[in-house]
Amino acid sequence: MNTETQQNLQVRSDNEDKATTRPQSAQNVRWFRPAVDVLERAEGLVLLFDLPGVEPKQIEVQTEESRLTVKGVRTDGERGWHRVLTMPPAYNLAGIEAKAENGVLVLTVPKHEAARPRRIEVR
Amino acid sequence: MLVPWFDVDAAFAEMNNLSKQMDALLGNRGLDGRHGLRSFDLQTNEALTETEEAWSWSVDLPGVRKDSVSVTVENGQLIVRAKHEGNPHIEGATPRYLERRAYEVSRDFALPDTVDAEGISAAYEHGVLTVRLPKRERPKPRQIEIQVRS
Repeated sequence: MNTETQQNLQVRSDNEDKATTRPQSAQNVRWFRPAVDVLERAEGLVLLFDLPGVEPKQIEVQTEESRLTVKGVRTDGERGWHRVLTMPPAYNLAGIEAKAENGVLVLTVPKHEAARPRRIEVR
Repeated sequence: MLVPWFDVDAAFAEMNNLSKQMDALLGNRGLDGRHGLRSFDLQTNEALTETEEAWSWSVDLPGVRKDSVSVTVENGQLIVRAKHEGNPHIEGATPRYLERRAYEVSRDFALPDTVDAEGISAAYEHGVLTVRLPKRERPKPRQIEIQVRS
C-alpha cells in the first residue's frame, strides 16, 4: 500500500484495531460494526450509518486527529454499534454535523476551505 | 489523480467472500429476506425474547419509515412487511462507498395457540420494530361426546 493510498479515506474493519479502539467503558456490551455509506459533495462528505435501536441522544460521535469514531449502545443495554473511520486530511472534523432518524445517523463532514473546489474567474 | 479513492482492505474482501458464500447457500436471499448478507452480524438483526407474560420479537429496520412498515394478524398468522425505499436524494452527492442498500423484509409466522392474538401490539422506534405477543393459557382439551345414533 503506498503512502498516497493510505492518506485516502479508509473504511476499516474493527478486527484490525480491536484491541485499541473497542470501547472499554460499557461493560457486557457486545459490539457490532454498523454498515456505512459514504457520499461526496463539493462541500464535503455525507456519511450514513445504520444504528438501529440506539436513541439519538445516546449516539456518540468522537474525533481525534484524523479518526472519526461512531458508537452507540442499543436501548437493550446489551448490544452496541461501533465503528472507526480514518478521514483524509482535506476534511474538517471539527465541523461535523449530525442528525439521526429511523435508526440512521447522518453525518456531514465539511472540507477545509482550502480543499474546496474554487472557481477562479478569468478576467 | 487516478489513485482509488477508497482503500477496501483485505478484511473487506473477506467479508464480501463470506457474503457470496451465504448468497449461494441461501439462494441469493439472505436469512432476513434481503438480498445477500447485509449486516455482517446476523444476530443483531432479529431478536426473540420471552418473559412470563409475553414474547417479544424485534427486527432491525434502519432507514425504514414508519408508514412503510405493516403488521397484520390474519387467520392465525402474524404477517410483517417492511420496505426500505432507499436513501433520500442528497443534492449533488456522488456515492463513493456503499454498504447500505434498499431492502424488504417479509415474515409470516403461524401463531401458536399460546399467544393471545387479540392482544398483539407493535411499536416502531429508532429503526427497530418490536412486536409484543402476549401469552395466554393453552386452551384445555375439550372432550367431545360422541352421540350414538341408533
